[in-house]
Amino acid sequence: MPERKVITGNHAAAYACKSAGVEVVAAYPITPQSPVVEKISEFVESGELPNTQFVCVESEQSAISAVIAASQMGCRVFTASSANGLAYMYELLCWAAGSRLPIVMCIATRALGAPWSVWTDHQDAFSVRDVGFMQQFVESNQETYDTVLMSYRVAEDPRVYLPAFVSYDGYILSHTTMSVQIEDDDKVREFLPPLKHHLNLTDFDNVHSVNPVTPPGLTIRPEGNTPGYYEFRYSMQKAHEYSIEIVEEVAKEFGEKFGRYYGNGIYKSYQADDAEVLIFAVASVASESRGVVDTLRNEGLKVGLISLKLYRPFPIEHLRKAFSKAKLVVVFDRDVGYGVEGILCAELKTALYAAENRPKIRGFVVGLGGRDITADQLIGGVKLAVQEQEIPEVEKNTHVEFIGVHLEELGFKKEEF
Amino acid sequence: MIEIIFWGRGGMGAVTAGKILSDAAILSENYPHVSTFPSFGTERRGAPILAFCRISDEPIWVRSHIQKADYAIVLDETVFGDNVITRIKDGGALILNTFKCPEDIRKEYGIDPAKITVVTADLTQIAFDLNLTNQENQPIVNTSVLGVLAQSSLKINIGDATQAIINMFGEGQKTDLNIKAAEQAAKTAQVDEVKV
Repeated sequence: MPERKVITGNHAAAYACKSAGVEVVAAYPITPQSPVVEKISEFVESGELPNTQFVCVESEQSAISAVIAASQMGCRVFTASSANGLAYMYELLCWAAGSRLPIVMCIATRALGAPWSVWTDHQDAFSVRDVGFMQQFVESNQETYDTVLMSYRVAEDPRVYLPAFVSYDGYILSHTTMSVQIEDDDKVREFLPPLKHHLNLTDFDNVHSVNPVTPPGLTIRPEGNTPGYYEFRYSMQKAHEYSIEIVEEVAKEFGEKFGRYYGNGIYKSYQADDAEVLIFAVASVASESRGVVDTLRNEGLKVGLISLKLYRPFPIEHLRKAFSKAKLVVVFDRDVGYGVEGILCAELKTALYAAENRPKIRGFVVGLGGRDITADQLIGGVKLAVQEQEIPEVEKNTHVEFIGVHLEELGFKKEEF
Repeated sequence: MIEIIFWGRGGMGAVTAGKILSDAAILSENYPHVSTFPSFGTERRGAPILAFCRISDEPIWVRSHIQKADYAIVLDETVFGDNVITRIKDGGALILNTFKCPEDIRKEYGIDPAKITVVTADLTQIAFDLNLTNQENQPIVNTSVLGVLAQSSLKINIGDATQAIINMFGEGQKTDLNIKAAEQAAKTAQVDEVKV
């Protein structure tokens, strides 16, 4: 029987691992991720996960190394991290993706030091966008649980074989208690059958080496030519492109089976159908924006929301369709591409560059390092964007305005900003 | 949506109180959606702590801190003052752990009876009477406060509250003591006569 539990986002992720029957877990604790692995270790200790091995490691780099090794042995694996811990994994993240290992890992998002911060923003999650993992953002603890399960399904699909991140806001979800439905193990097993891995290094009858030095060109052999690095990476790009369809397909199947839908699995729209102004955001910023849409609608402004769920691969075609009727898009980034503008904003501009009926795009930076994002701040951003939408300079500029930065209180004069 | 803020000091269990309340809210079947979180500091023992709790019959999407509360719950009187009073909505309620009566609190802090209902309960004394203390001999008040809430206009009854306490700590002698304290608090809480 499914069970309703009142749990934090970290525990929702741990329960998802339990439902998925992960076989090997290795992780190193970091705030705000720690409780997810503490909970899994409790499951292992209490015998609730009898077939799971929990590997204690001395660092994040070892954690990801351990799950890479276990994944190459054909196991379903899990790890999680945040911010500086995630940064410490970077090299091996590329290794996991290049090896096409269906690892699922959670990022409890947190601002990267320095200055030292334990609070949330999305800089860490976006900083690993190019390692080759798929990546999804979520808005609630239930969505965390569900998305971990869906991510295993997509990652392990023989048409994909790519690792995946599930990113949920540190504290705002990781430490927030919500009601979560934990599904029946048998039903989850129907949705997520045991892993059929393309790799199994314990298969001693078919001994082969993995990831030797791979030259730029093909290696010509009498028994058949082998690809160069270039071909491997080409196939990774193709897998990313193809996986969008699979993500959508899996989300649909998940909805039919468990009754929970997250838009089309790619993005969630709220009041978007007739909207002239669309807010574009991920995770906590997107969920906070829902109330903003309601408030502005009550004031007579036709506002809607596109909450992006699938960030990697970036669903360009879907987004072109989603924004085809809007006149103005307001992007709220809880991150910065330093020296440019909000990462999501820049990527949306790229995606819509060749779109017909391209809307105007205005971006803002909000809530770095856990600065509380209030509905009023977001409303202010939308109103400013609407007010200035006809000013050509505003449209042409890069958008690096930080909403809610307190400079005057620090003694700076307005003209010094 | 009902918004509740807990004030306490690190180690008193304000965050746990919020979690138990959200479980009780679900058990009541009146509030199927909950969202409870601490103020996310680098919490440490003795420092003032806030915990936020939203309960609702509709999905909750707001993720920011609660600016103004329907219910302000203060577990330690030494963190109470205008900082709390200014964060209570008009028509909201203050629930304070104190030996004083609501009228004294109202007079001392100049609380407008037309705007805020004041409820007091001597949770500290209840804890000492029952010998309900932690390892450092500090009184445990974060469970008994649930009893006071069960007596309020919230649609959560004492049965839901006690079940939520059991869910949090498991069955046992200590849990029974917590439940006893909650029941005691429910009986002895004082609500000011001026009802809005």
